[in-house]
Order: sequence, then structure tokens, then C-alpha cells
Amino acid sequence: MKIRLLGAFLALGGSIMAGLIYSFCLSSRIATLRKMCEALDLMYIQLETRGEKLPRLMLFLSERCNGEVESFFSSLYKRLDRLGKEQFQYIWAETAEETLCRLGTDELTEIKHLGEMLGRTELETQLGAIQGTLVFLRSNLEMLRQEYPQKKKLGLCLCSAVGLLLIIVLI
Amino acid sequence: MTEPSGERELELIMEKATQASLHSSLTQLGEGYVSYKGIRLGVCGKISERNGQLKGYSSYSSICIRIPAEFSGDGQQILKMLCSPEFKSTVILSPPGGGKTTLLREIIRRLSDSGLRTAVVDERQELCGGDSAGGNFFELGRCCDVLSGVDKARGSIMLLRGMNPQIIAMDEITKPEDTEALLEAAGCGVELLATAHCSSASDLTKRPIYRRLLSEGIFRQAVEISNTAGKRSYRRTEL
Repeated sequence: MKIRLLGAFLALGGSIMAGLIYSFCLSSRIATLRKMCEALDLMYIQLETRGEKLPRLMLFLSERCNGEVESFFSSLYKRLDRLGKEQFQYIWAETAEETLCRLGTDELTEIKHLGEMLGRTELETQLGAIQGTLVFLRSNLEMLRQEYPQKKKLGLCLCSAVGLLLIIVLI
Repeated sequence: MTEPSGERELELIMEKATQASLHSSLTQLGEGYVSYKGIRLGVCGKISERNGQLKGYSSYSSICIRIPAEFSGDGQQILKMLCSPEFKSTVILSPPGGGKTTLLREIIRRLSDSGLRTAVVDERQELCGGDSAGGNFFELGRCCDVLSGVDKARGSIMLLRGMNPQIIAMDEITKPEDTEALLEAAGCGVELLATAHCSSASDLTKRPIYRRLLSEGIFRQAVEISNTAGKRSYRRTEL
């Protein structure tokens, strides 16, 4: 009986932990998305006003961001010494894949697509592409923010319910 | 490059040369080349335009890479030849690929190291070999001011106003605007140092753009570069 009780409480604890991890992942995704939007805003301004070269721009952004976004831009800056051997868009996509793990698949795909436009055309087209990506990311961010309280509650309740069910079954 | 390169290879070269930032090289590309650390890359391919403005290249077909050579002659001897008793406005002459820019860079460095305030308008960023970080690839001496990425006419006026130079140097006089800038600079008591596509001093008079400079007495001496069996020699001529 004691072992059953212990197992049941462990299952309950595990379920609650799963709920907490779920809500933490949601909030991290929102935070990364928000930081990415801020970084792209900064990128837009720097390109528009100074026509900065991309390696310098990546360094600039890595110094002004934090978290996953900082590691994205700093890794990208370091990897740009591979230019001439690999195309910029592949370096960009590979770095995004490796560093922006907390973003959703659709957001990551959108960011990867942006790499296909950067540095390949005149400024106007690049700025248009950044603006397009920003619109997409911002609408996702807004949606996630609105859904967050509900999803958080739902996640926690669902996990707790599963835990309680396990207790009932085990006891 | 003797073997034909694939388009992907050309794209990689261009990405390296522009630091994956075509937007910052469009002015140069509009002139048909791009500079990277003193290396000039002439570019051919399919240009895409919008309202008459270069938007980029939709594809590259060939790239001509000109790697700057190390100066092989006796720079001190040439400087002595040009500065007897003092430096006078000089034009360096040779056909394309004859070593004008290499010699110009060497003379600038030696003049500047001798203490003369030398200002350089480096339109193509070939003389200093500027990179994206704002650093210079070639050493141009301790008294040298370099203004790069600006056309020669505007650049020389800016240098005259701001840097109080004793000598203004520039590569390849090709446009009537360059001539105007040289005339203005010479009128301000500055000595000039430039290069021209020409095989000899007597050929200078055949081109209207140089004829005017000669008739106004802008250049007072010329250095002719000749190439015999792969060995370059330098000859000074009074103009």
C-alpha cells in the first residue's frame, strides 16, 4: 500500500511538473519571439539608415540582444567567415535551426526564408522582406500572448487531472 | 582563372567580395566592378534594374579578378627621381595592367613617410584596400589621409577643404569631372599625383581629357612604365 501511495504521489508530482514545463515553454516561446521582433526592428533601422554590411550588422545585433536571439546573431557572426565556401542563406538557416529552438516551426520557417533575401538585392527589397517577416512574427506573438493564460491554465489542469486519475487508479 | 566556373561558384565569390551585402556595393557594381581588400573584381552577368537604377545581378556569367602585385622596383630611387629638388605634380602612365596603381601606392607611401601631408581619394578602394570593418589592407604611410568610396571630383574638394594636404593623389583620371577637380586642386597650390591609361607622354596629347591638363600645366612631370620581357622599368619625363 505504501509503495502504491508513493507511486501515486510521484505520478501526481510528475504530471504537475509536466504542466509547469509546458507553460514555461509557452512563455519562453513568447519571450524569444518578442526579442526576435525587437532585433528585426533594429536590423531594419540599421539597414535603412546606414546600409550596414551584414557581418557588422550581426555583430551589432549580438551586442544588443540576449538569450536565444543573442546566441543566434553571435553564432551567425562567427560563422560568416565561411562566406565564399557556403552561401549566406544556408549559414543563416543552419544557425537559426540550431539556436532558435524555442520558436514554433512556422516562425522558424519564416525566419529562414528571410535569409534568402538578405544581402542579395538592393536595400528596398531587403527592407520589404524584413517588414514582411516582422508582420508575420508580430501576428503570431499577439496570438500567443492572447492564448497564453488559457493555454497555461489548460495545461496545468490537464496535467493535474491526469495525475489525480493515476492516484485514483493506483489507490 | 582559366577553367570556366559554375554559376554557384561565381555567386560564392561575389558573396565573399561583397560580404553578403550587395546593397553596400551597388554603386561600385554600377561601374562594373567591386573591390575587396584591394582586389578588383570586374563582373559580368544579367543585370536587374528598376527605374534605371541597378537592383542587383539576377545571374553572374564571369568575373575578372585583378590581384594587386607587390611593388618590385626600387621605390627609393623612383622617389629621388621625382623629388629633385622637390616633388612636383606627377602623372603615372602605362597601358592597362602595366602597374600604375602599384607604383602609385608605393610613391604615396614613400611621400607620406617622408613627412609630406598626402591625401588620397580612393574611389575604388584599391589603393588602401579598405574592408567592411573600415580597416585598410595596404599601408600608405604615416602622413596619409584616405577618403574612400567617393568620386574623385567630390573627394578632392572635400580633402582640400578639410585636411590641408600638400599632395592629393588619385587613381585613373577618366572623366571630365576628374579633370575639373584636378584643375581646382592645382589652383589651390596643392601638388597632384595621378595615373592615366596612356603608353607614353607624347600619347597624352591625343586624348582631349588629358590635353586640357597639359595645356593648363597641371602636371609637370610624368613617369612612364614600360614592360620588357616581364621586367618593368620606370622613366621620368618633363612635361
